[in-house]
Amino acid sequence: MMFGEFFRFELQYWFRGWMIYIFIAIVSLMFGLAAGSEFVQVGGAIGNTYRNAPYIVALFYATASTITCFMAASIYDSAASRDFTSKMADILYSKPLRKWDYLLGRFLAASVVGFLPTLGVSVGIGIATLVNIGDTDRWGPIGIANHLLAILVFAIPNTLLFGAIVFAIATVTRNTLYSFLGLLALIVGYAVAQAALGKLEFEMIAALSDPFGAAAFDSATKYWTVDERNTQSIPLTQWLILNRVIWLGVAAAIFGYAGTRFSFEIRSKQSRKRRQAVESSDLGITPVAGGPVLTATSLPVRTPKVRWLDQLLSTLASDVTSIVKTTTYIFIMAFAAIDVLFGVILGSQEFYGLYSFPVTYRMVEEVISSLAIFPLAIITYFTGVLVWRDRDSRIHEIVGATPSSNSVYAVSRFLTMLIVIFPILVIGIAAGCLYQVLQGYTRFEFSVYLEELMVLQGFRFAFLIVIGLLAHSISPNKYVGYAVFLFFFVLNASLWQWLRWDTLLVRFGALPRHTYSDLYGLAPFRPGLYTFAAYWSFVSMGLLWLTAILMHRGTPAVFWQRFRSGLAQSSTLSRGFATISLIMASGMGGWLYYNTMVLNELVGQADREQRQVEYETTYQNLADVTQPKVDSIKYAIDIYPEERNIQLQGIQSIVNKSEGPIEKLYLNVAPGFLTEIEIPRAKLINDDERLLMRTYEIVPPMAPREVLEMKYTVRSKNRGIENQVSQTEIVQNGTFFNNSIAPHFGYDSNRRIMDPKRRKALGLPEAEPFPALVRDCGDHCLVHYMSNDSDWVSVETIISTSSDQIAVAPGSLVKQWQDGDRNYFQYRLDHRSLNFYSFISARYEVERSMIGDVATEVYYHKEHPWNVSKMTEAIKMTLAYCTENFGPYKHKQARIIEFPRVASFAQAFPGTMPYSESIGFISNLEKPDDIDMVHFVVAHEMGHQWWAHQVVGAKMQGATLLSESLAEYTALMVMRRKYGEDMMHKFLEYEVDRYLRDRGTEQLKEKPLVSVDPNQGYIHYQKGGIVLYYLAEMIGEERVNAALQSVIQQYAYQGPPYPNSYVLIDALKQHTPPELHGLIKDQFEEIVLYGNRTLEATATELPDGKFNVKIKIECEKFSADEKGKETSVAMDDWVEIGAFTRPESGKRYGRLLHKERVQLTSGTHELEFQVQERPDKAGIDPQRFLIDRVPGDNLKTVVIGS
Amino acid sequence: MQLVINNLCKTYPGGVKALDNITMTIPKGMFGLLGPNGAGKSTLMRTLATLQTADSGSAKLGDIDVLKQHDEVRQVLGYLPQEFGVYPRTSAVALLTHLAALKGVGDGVRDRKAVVEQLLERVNLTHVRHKAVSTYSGGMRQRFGIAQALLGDPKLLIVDEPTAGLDPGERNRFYNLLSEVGESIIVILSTHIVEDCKELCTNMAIIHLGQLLYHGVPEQAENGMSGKVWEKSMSKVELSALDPKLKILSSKLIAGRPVVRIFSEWDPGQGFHSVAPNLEDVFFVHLKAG
Repeated sequence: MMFGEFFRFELQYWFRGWMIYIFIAIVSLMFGLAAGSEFVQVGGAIGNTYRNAPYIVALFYATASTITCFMAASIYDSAASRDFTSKMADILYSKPLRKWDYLLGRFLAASVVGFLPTLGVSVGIGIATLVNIGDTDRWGPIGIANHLLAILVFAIPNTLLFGAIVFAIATVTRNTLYSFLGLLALIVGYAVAQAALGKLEFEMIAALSDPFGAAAFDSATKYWTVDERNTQSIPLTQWLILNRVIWLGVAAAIFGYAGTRFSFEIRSKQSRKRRQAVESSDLGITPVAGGPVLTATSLPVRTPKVRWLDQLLSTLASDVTSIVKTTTYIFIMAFAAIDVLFGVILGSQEFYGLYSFPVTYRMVEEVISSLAIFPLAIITYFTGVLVWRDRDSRIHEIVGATPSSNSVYAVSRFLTMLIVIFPILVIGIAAGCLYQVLQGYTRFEFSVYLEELMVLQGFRFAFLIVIGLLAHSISPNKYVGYAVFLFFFVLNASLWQWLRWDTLLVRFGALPRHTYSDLYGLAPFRPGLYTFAAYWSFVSMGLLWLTAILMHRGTPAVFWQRFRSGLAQSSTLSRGFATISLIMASGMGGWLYYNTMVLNELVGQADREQRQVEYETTYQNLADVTQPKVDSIKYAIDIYPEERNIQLQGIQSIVNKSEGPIEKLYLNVAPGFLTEIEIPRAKLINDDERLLMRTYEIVPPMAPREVLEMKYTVRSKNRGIENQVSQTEIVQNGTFFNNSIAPHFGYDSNRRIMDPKRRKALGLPEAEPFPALVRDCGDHCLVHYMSNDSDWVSVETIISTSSDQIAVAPGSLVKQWQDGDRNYFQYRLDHRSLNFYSFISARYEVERSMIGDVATEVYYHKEHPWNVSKMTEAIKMTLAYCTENFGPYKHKQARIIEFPRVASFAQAFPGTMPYSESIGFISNLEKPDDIDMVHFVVAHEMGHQWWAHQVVGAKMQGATLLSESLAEYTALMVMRRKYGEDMMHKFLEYEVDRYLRDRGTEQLKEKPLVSVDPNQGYIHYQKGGIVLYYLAEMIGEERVNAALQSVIQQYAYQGPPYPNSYVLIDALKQHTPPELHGLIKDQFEEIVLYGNRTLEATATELPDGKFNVKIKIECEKFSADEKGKETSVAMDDWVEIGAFTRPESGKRYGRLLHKERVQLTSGTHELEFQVQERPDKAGIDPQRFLIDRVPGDNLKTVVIGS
Repeated sequence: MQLVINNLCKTYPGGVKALDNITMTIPKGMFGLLGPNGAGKSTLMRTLATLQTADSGSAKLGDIDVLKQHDEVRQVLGYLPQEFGVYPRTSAVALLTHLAALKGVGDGVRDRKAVVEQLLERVNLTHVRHKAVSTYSGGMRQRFGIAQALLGDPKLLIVDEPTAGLDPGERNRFYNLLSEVGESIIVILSTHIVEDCKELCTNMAIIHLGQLLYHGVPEQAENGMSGKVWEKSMSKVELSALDPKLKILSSKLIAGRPVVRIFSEWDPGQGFHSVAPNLEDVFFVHLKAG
């Protein structure tokens, strides 16, 4: 019964304490908030599912372990080592105990207690559900069974696993520190491993190696749709079960090992010996009484002279040593070094398993994101250690009685924290440089490292240190101190957002956001960054002074007593310091207030939303009011990069293309710019400055087909420091803005709030981004989706910039000259185009070449030359492919222009494709096996020169099928021509994965391709590309292209009316044999998924050396509704079967030995075919053309029989 | 220079009166502060050492207002608290050098080290000066404590129950050291052991429950009671039947038999015989009276 005794005793010990209840409360609060609010997120945003969906319950339980394992650890650790730390061991172990009773009793009781905090997940979700009862849109029923299953699958095994590890370390080492470090090591290792295994190829290894089971769960549910998330319980896949079995086995093994190592012997002999040694030597030299004793007068008499600096330096040395000598600190440093190295290595990986050149700003970002936790941990923990150091080592009365000012300690502690954090930043820089060297990249920009890491991060840490010291100085003891600090930290991070106070002046230590770019450095952000830094520095100085005043000195005293006596004892100098800090802080604060709120308008998030709501409700009735259309434009643009200012003057002809008169003009003007408009006969009757809409009355009304000349001037107004730097499109080097800053006509539906959740919260009705798809166009297709107020326009521009920069506008360069210290360029469009283009100015290098009569130009930053010629080549190949297959190119130039990474996309304008520095220009394409994303993106944007800039869809659902999907198809075909089938196989795998994942997080409704919404990238890019590629495979590339060519012939540069998505579908049908029309319907007009898999694959070698392959396959086909609810439908489709050879070493795919198209119905089939060589893998849909719910099981390794 | 304390009061939150209107003058030399545990000795000493605030009253060290001019007091103060710890993993030399810097002793690091070495030699810790103080035995630690208190030649040395936990030999050596320095400065020594006071102190005070019960010279205190202390050796049965009216000062076992000392202005009879009063009797008389 000894076991029961230990078990009971241990349980009682915990239930009588307060810790376990606090733990449960914390976890409940955290997960209750995660379920019930948007401010706390655990394991990613909840999205469109029920906030208490079974999936969310399981996800929370899987993620909760990473937090609760630390709580459980403290319980296990205490259970294992309490007898040693409390010195009970001497008494207890002298009793006749049975080892396993003792260990098991303790362990199982600790497991029960350690598991309890995890239940906070259910408590939190439960409470959140009850609070929101009635909101059936967002909350489903409470499914007890789902909670129980999640507890069984995640909570219990994870508690036991981490318990066993901590318990084992603690029983073997008998040291609390090691068990926590062990746990920390495991978690860092886990995070690193999971990140390293992020590539699709390693998915199963990642699923098995995750001790929390979360990766296995993710892998099993990553393609789940909203409906599945709402209704399905945890799928007990073989991987998940295997994962749980493996890790429970590991737990048992660890516990067993620790048990055999454990003994009741008490190990502290060594230190005891050492102590005895000191004592005996002491006795030996003790002088006998009456022997020679030095007298007081024999000491040299010195008048002590208190020197502040001496005191500071000595205290500083003592404080710093006290931290850097601790094992905790050394371990944190070691972890930091490991973590940052992995972070830097992994962080340079982008989508599609691609790597980037290690430019310094990327290194800096990786260093910050992987290291940030360490300075935070150090600040949190060691500020407490420092403030309570004297008291903890009970030397406080001695030190307190020395003639040293409190300021010595406050300053020393502040500097100590800076000093102990410094090595982390050095480690970060070293790791960044090391990685750069390893990659053969030698352009070290130490100034970037220093400014970003040492200076800007340094400021953040310094401010936080002050708060840490202050929290402990305010508090009566260490634990309250930690609580106060964390409370402040959380409050400061969330309160202002919750209150919707956007000003940084109240958010302690906040600096404005900034984005470094190789083009402009930090230039646009520096004034704001450093002014705010100065402001917070003065505030921090004041707070540091307060910590000195409140210092815990001598006997413990309550807050007010310390405050009064601290103030009374403070010197004139100290009070002067406080006064100066206060004056400077309020001065800087006032000046920043003036800059951010008076000179500039601070429109907060709430206000911005409110204005959007007002805009929609006030002006949506204008949606159908006829407005003139822009026909031709002449721009005169002046860019002043150094001042970050631009002026754009436009003279445009506007035409009444309707049959009736136009009496009123409604013009949207751009926020943050000064706009002047001049229209003949028009009178401004309403200037809605708040909603940026101007109403003009035109007398007499504009007659049908009448043309007027409208003039306007748009000026930027860069004035002083902003709360957050806006207009980052206008910078010292790399200005990039488009013509949307010019005034435009009519109600602009893009200015609405589109997020369905925000719409609901703000009481707006549900809204579709685009009008519904109508087959027969006519009146519904009078505007295209790129702009409301123009068809095909002609543009001429005179653009000027500073003398060291090149400015680019749409069209051919007609003339270039210099006037004073400014460069002037004149451009003219060679063909009418969409009224959608950009203006750019920077210090560029240019690579030029000619393809026929088309000039290719790549404008790039001189330090990013790596992929420039690849881009030129991609332009060339796409141009060739498209002119050959679709139709002629109507511009005389094709430009790629690098722009700063304030945005990270590439975009196609007529003849011009701005391309962000952060994608493509710094991609490292040196490995031949990697997917050439640069080529792909260029081909996609070039594809848009036909698909969007020649054929543009009417503004209705499905419009982007004609532009994005066809540009994607173009890029896939160009890629295939260059890299061949195998590379496409790899690429499409990523595309299918992306599509399946993203559809699970759809916020509104998944649409079929024909009526895709403009914001559904996963449909118009990924699904569109996959489906068109598949179609080209089924009917032949030439037939698809013939269909596309017919679309070009009919619609290029035509409209209104503009074509809709049925135009494409009809053209495709025309070029597709009738038996495959079902395929087009399935893929374009429905949402269809397959569940094909291979059950068995065997082969026998034939006498002639060939192989006869037999496969047993299972086919299933589903149709999904817009919420992802799937229903099984009868399958009767042509599907490929085939086999691969064994891949060459180092490759992942073998050669395709055989492919054959067979017509298959739902159910299992056995098929046979012959191949020439020994097959390695065989099965259904070997090249994965179909969108398959579980892509991994299409092929099986062939078992060769005789 | 002397320390003048006037009407010093301190009440803890919860109502415990730790100092109740204490008024006394402490001259140069060794001053013993005698009282049982919880008498208020440590509160008084911490207050004088600027580590605690008083509610009312004053304390002046020469011209220095002890309660207000903390920094000035600290410049002439040496303080050995009743209980103290040290930084872990820190040697005597390192710790003492640090404290020397805080006290403004020495001119530069090298000079400071020299002073520290001398001081360590004086308290006989030279041979273990590079060992961590946290590994020291009780006696060594206490000697380290006095060494740090002596840093900077204090004019006021406050030592709070310094011999608790020391063996008799250590205690003697410690007192020898104290009495040497006590010749030229004010040394306040708190203790609950009466003999310590008698051996060392030229002046003494007895406090109990925050109140000053006696203040004067140890011999005078004894002399004032001569002829009034009586003693009798008796059996345990006799002890339990002793006349409740008698003012018992103490009852000790000597060779297993209780020896009872009582205070009486005249011969109590009953087999008691007159003995010479000692300081302990003085202590108990005041304690029982208060």
